[in-house]
Amino acid sequence: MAVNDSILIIGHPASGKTTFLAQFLTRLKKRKSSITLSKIPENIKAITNAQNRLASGEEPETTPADENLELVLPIKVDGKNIDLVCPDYGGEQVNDLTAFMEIDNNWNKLVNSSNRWMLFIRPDKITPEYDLSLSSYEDIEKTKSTTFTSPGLSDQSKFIELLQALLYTKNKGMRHPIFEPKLSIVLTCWDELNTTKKPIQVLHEKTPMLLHFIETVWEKETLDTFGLSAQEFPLTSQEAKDKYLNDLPENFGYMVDQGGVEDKDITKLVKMVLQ
Amino acid sequence: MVISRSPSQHTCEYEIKHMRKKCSKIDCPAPKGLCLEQASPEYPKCEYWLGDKPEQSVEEQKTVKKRVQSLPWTGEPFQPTDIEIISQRSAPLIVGMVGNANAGKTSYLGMLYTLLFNGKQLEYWQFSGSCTLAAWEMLAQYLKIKPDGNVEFAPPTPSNPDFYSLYHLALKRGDLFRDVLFADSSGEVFKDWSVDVQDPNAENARWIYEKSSAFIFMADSVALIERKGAAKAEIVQIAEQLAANLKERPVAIVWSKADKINNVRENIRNALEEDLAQVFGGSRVFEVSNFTKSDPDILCHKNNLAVIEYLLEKLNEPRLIKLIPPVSVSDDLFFNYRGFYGSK
Repeated sequence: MAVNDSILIIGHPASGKTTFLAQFLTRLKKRKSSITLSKIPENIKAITNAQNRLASGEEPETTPADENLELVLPIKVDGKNIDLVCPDYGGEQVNDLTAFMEIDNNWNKLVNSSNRWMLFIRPDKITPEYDLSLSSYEDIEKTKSTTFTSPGLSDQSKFIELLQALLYTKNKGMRHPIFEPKLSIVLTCWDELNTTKKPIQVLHEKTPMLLHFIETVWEKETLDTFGLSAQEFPLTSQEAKDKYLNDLPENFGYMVDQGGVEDKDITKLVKMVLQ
Repeated sequence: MVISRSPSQHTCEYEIKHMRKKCSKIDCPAPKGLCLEQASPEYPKCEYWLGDKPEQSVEEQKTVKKRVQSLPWTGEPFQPTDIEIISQRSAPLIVGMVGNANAGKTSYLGMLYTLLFNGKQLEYWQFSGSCTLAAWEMLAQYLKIKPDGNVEFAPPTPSNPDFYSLYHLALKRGDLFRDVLFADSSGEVFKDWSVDVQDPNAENARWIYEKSSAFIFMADSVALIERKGAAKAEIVQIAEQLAANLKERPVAIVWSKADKINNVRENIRNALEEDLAQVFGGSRVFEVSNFTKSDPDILCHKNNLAVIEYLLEKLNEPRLIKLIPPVSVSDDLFFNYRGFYGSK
């Protein structure tokens, strides 16, 4: 398989992959973008449900984590054919990868045949934890624990472990800066953050060690951070639902570029990843 | 402090094995990949096996398993046999953690990771990954503020002579790449080793001493406040043994719990400083604490990282190579002949 022209979408369960792909496909079909479908995708079962729910003004349901459907969107960007591949809709295999430290053979193949990775991270779900280094706890009551128990991996370490595992699978060492695959971090549900900061600032606040890691390992030019609000607002109130019903889902959603500038055309995200 | 030598202290490894692998037997002594209850291909039949419980035959299971490739590291603490995972890409540097029980060796490592986790950085070296992330997270959890507002420090490191716990960091400085392994150990074991280096219960201390490229030597401020001269004597005993066969390997002298250092009797502090300076020559001294008074805090935020930076700098210094060949002096003219140039 040729090692180019393939973007891999990677994310844990409920990281916003489905909503983005549903909104992305809807826009392509409405020809609201300079990106076009180069052929009709063979199987869009998993996002059809999300598209239908958005059309009815409902929040897309989280794809069950164990639904290991693969979605391939063949697209044409500026005359070039690209496969947008989401190998694991539910995200369970991504979870398994860092829980059991095993990589599925299909993933292995896709990781090796892709030259661009989009890692979906939902920052509003990463909550800070308080430890002794953060503020003055001089008078705190100190005891000694009696057992060693593993707390499991924090969100931040999970992302680092995931990237380490994928790089290992692609046979990429850490000694020299990585030019390929290009890595784009996509911070989803951006609207939930209520912020005017740039995406990289949010990434630094939420997961500073992850940012430090990717900036050390990747060549600067091959690393991007974007914000994405594929839905634009939560569809919890009747007013919000009515907006979707009246003005149609393809008119909502926006992306935030590296400079912090919003753009209503979320398909530009893919264009920017390709730059 | 009395520390049990029973294998049940080993729970850290097995807890992780439980989480990340598929065997749930807490104290199963079977090596990784083998099962005590069942012969090798039959392991899914073991009652403690959490993976697929097949109605399928074991053969079918194996076919299913083939679709998955295991990664070489697990995130658990490295054992000496795991070092080969990283030794293919660089010669790893082992940093031995040495000090009495309760001196804060494990908490030091927990704080090191916590600082990196929260975005603090080394001045010259960049974090470029770790093969023991789950292990670091386990250490760091003991510095977290619990929901009741308190903190519960790590339990004593198991003192079994076969207990090894190596924590990995990959670090980069420009084109330089270093795999660093921090070898944690029980203070009890090092105490035994300091009075008898051949103590049969100090196998891991011997291993750490032999293999380490550098050492972090911890002097516990609180022990010096509470047990005064007795604590000082124990610290000096370990220091002398550490220095005995050091062979120019760098040592960072670290006063732990240094937020309390001013409560150490001045004469004891001065005497220990003198002794350590004599034992370790020009080694640099650091004062560290896990408690912050400000942000940034020198003892916590700056000095914990400065210890590592110092050792890396020391290890990076070019070593003097003696290029002048030994000149033999003999009464025999034949042996004194220095060649054509020598006779000019």
